[in-house]
Amino acid sequence: MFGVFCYNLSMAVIKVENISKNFGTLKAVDNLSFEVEAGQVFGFLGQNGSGKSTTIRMLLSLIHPSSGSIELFGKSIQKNRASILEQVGAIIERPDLYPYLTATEHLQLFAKVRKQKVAAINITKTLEQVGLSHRSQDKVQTFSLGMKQRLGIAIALVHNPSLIILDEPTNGLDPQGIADIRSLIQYLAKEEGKTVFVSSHLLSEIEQVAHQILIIHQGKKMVEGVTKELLDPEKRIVQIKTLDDVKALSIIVAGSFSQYLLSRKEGIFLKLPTSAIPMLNESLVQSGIAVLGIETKNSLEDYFLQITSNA
Amino acid sequence: MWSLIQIELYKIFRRPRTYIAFGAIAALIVVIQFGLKIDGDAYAGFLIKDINDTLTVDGKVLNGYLICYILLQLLLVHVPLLVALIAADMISGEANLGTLRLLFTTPYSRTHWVIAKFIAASMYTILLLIWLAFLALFVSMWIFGTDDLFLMKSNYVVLIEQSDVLWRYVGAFVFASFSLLTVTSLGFLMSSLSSNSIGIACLILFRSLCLLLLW
Repeated sequence: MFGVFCYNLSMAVIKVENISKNFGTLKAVDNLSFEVEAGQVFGFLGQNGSGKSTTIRMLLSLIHPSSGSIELFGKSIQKNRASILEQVGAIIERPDLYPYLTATEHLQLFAKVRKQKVAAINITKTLEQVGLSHRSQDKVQTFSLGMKQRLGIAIALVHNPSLIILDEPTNGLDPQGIADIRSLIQYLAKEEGKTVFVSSHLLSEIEQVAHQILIIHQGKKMVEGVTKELLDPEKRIVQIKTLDDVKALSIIVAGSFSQYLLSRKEGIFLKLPTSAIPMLNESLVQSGIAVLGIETKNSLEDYFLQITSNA
Repeated sequence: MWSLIQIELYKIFRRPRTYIAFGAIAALIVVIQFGLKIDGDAYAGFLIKDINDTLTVDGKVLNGYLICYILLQLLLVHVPLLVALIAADMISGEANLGTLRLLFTTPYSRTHWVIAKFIAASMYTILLLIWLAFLALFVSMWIFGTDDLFLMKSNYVVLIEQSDVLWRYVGAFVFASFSLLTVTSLGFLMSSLSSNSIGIACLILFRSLCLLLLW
């Protein structure tokens, strides 16, 4: 029933062109385009309700776009759904599982769905990868949310897919669990050459694993690029904390540092070269401003807030 | 498709609810059989008391065939309810759990899954009916033995010779399978329209009662 097909490794694993999705009058996704190359970890960012899950549902052909096209492995998802989804493992939003089945039974069941005879050792290996081997024979109804999340990821991995789509994979996980999943995503991309498309509200997690990021806001693409370039280490986002922010801001606006000033609702933020930070401090002190601190905030979270607040 | 049906059957038979249905049927039948074994002769005497003056009834009135007839009359409502409980949960139950979406991310289409679920629910219905037939007919035949089937109606008596009864029961169970498959189909259809499987089962029970009253 399902044909095996090959795709050129150099071509985009995911190619989305001008997709929009309307729910009545609501435009959930608005003319979105992006590409994900093989072997990459692609970070998909956006606030709640920004259209991330809708986009992921369209990628998995759970819903169809109102307009635009989606290609996975160089083929249209709408025309080649079955053969494409053989190569895809996914979890969406929350881990939905059968409470009366054990972790092992879940993996056996979903391996069977993919017509794959997965050896017991591979099921054990997959459960080990997500840190669930010690609960393999326990029913899911006894699992915590974090454990269900891990099992959801294991289900996405059990049939050895080329593309893994993870929607908020760290939901419900404790800090150690988050670190484990981060390591797993890095391992899958680096050691096994898999393409990982991951959305998360934990921006610091995306920052640490993603080669490329895309930020959407109200269904529209805000920015897309290589993480390292977007978080240019030569230019730092700093927050200035003073005893008199109003006066400090007026001095910055009047001086040469105004070009680096960022538009923020609260606090004084600048994006400036690292070498300029001491000069800024000196300038404020010389103007009689009591500087309480200069905090470097060159994280994706700051970048994300900057992008979305500007929008 | 067969692997999908296997998966659906596997899920059905891993749920405690499934065994409650089999257990409920067994419990009801065993209680009735036990009661009739203990005090069956008095019941048989009550059945034929009106004709004792005009007819001489010879042989074993309270035999396995009559017990099966009594059981099927009594379980006319219970069995459709137990079938509906599973059929009504096939889609709405998974939609509530969220697992339906997980299934739809596999290479199989919605149509494949719905067909597989319907076939699995139908197979469950047939298995439940076989279980019912085994307990109500064959176990009763084993416990109470066999003889001619003697039925008292309101103003007439039906007498079917022993050699002529078994095939009629086989026919009755085949007919019951069609009837129960209709209940399965109805439950399955409503399962795709509503998320409340218990509500659907109650609605089907209500429909069964209405049909029973009309009949």
